[in-house]
Amino acid sequence: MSDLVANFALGAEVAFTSSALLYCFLGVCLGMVVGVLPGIGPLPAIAMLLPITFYIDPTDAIIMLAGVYYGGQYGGSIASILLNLPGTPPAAVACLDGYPMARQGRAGVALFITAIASLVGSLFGILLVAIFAPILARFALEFGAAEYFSLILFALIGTAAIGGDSFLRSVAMVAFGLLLGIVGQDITSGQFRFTFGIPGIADGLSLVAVAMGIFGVSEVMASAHRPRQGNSQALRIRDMIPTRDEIRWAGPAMGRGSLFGAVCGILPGAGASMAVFIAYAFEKRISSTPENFGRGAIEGVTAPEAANNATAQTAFIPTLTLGVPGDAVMAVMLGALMIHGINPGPGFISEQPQMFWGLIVSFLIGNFMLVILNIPLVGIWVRLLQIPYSILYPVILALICIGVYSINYAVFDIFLVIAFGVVGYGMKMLGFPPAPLLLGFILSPMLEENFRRALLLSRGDWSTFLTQPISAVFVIASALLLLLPVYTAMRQRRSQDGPVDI
Amino acid sequence: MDCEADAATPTLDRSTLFAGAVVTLLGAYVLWQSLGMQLGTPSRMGPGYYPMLLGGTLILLGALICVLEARRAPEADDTLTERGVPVWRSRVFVPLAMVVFALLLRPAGLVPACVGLVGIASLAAPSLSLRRTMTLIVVTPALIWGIFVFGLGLPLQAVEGL
Repeated sequence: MSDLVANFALGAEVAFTSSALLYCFLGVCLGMVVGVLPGIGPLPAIAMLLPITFYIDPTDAIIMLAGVYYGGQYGGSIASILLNLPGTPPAAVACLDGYPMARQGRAGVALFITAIASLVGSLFGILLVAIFAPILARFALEFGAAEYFSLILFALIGTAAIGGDSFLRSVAMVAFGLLLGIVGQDITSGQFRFTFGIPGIADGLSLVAVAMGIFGVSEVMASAHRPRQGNSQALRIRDMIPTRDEIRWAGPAMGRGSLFGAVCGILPGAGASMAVFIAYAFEKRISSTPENFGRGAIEGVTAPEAANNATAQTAFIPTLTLGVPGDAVMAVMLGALMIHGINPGPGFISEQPQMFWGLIVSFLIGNFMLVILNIPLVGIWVRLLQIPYSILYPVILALICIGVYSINYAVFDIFLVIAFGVVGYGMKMLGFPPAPLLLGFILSPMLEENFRRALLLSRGDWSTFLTQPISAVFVIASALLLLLPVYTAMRQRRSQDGPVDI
Repeated sequence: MDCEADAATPTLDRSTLFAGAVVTLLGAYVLWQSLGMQLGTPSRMGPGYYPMLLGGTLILLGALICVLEARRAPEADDTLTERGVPVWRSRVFVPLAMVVFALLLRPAGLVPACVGLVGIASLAAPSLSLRRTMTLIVVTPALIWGIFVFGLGLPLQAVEGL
């Protein structure tokens, strides 16, 4: 305990310097703005900030980049609630109940409660990072290739199982995502796979182009022509105060969401998108009024929001202690550290204590900054509702185009984002959900690498995935998740057909 | 229950069959491509091994979608059920506007690219208003230039050759 106090004191020395405070504030402000704007999320913002960090102290740099990341999580849900357009991919879940709440005139309450849920989730996540990062690093060190493979497999199938209405379609999208992740040069043999001789994708598909196309462009294509009522309501501070019942429902949901989020952040590869879906599905499952979900249930807003923010904090655990990023943004963050000659890994906390604990304390400062920024400025966010969609979507399209261009200065990437917009539109028509695709796409290289390495180490013996105890747990859990929906579907079919043997 | 309704009208949902077929065909293509690469053995995999497994998985999943899901149609998305000219306005003008932006960005500069994008994208809107379009044509390039060129230092000319 005294260790923890000493560590926080060390961190405070770093995080309370004027330069660290300034970069933290800049980071969370920018994160907030890019989180709110649909079409540019924290990922392109962080990628664009990378060159700037060459000129500043590495600790300040990582504090600012981290601020953009968790600041984006605060902002992401605002566009979801007000416009039904997720500012960041994990905020898609906030649309499900947040947007109905806004249409019922409860946007103020929804925004207030998400700000509080974000803070609760973040604080819980920060506490876990501070206490468990060193312990978990040691535990996770025992993970070999087989364990990683099984863990990633479990994460993918788990996301599919809770991600949409049709389990099979979700798994198909995971597989499609894994396929998109192959595009580019094979690390081992150097052979180009599925690149069709196009130089622009020889290094793989741009993650930002895939994500913006499937989540951003396809949405605009589906709704640009629709008349949207600008649901303009004057919002006073009084409107933001939740009723006693709402607090009673929202409070415990925040706690549960924080827990799911924290766990998903720690597991490499699970990530925020998985955390929010699990938190949402769990709330719906245990609710006494599940029929309210999708129609403005406050638990459906708070639990994913807390989960989302807890994940944003605990995601730093695998990134910093293992050198294994859990999602795409963390991968960029890892790249930023490596630019400065710092290699995160098992020795990171002991070798760079000022940086690690300074970062932790800056998380605390940044989150309180965000709540202060968030609640008084809510009037500005609500005013966005009065802007009709026909004014917003051309600006969104322009932001998507220039955002995707700015990463590699490649016009080709704009064509890529258009192509994935069309693909995403087709997926929408056929009922295929987009989130599992993105997860598969991000994790595909890691999955293949560990798959090959595990079988190399076992000399081609497939039983390695079952003889290693940790790996076996994940494989069996994945198998159960896979078989359950297929079994239910078959039983349903059989009951329809009557007693017919298949 | 919708089970009864399905039993009364045992029609197969055409869009689900199509969706399954697309997944199967994609898998078949991937399988065929991967067989052209070096496969290797499980202990020493070549570049084609992992794609081969994925191709097989996609074929299986596509078949399962056709077999298990075609009888109970999922709740159709608006995207599928909407018909008429307005739908096509979005489908055509949104991607077209982005293509114009991409083509104009380098040769003409950021401002003409934004003007072109906004002008064409506005054609998809539910109602055409000249005032709104003109405002957007002025505000959008200014906003984009302010954030990305002035703020973030993106090396782009506002208007090429100016």
